[in-house]
Amino acid sequence: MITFQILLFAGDREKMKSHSVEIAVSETATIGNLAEKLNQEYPSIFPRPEGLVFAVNRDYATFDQPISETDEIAIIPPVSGGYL
Amino acid sequence: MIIITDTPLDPNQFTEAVKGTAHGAVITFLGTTREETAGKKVLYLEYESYDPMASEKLHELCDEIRQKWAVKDIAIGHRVGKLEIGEISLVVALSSAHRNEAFESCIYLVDRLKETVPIWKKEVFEDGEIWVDAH
Repeated sequence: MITFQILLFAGDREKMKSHSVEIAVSETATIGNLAEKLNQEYPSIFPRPEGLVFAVNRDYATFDQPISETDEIAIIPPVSGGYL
Repeated sequence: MIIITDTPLDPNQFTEAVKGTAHGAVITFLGTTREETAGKKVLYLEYESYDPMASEKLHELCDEIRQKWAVKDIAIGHRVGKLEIGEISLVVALSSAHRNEAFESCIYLVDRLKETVPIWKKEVFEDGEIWVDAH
């Protein structure tokens, strides 16, 4: 397992009362796996994992993108209201 | 020139940065904080950015603009932190040889900025607060 410190902003940061959240996933995990894990561990804060938008190393990422230990991962809340 | 700062933005600084003798047109766009949203009075606003992704996305946007239009220079300033009503949250200054490129590219730039640059805005009301579209 690898533990990722996922950066949080705006409403997500306020709801989690933290600038980041730790999520552990397998070595072969993708962004989609991270989204599912976030939903399992914090269902009230991330009720729709399929609507989450992530950035990996400061670039928008797709759900099938693999992630590795040194990646900087962030959840990008909607900038125009409502999850995508 | 791209600046994301928690101190007040001076539009002249951005206009001067793009002015030049080869440029017939200079546009400076200001985004300012509104006192009302859907009939509700806004007390103040808070902007938050993901740095350095926000700066990187602004640089990418400038590259994209230069590929599409014959724009000479672009300067962008975005304020973050707490803003009072009527303050400047965004300055976009750009120059080109002729006015059409400047107008068109400025509209495109501000539209795209809202979609791709990770900066968020919170409106604070008397009876609550909400994170909204950043611009």
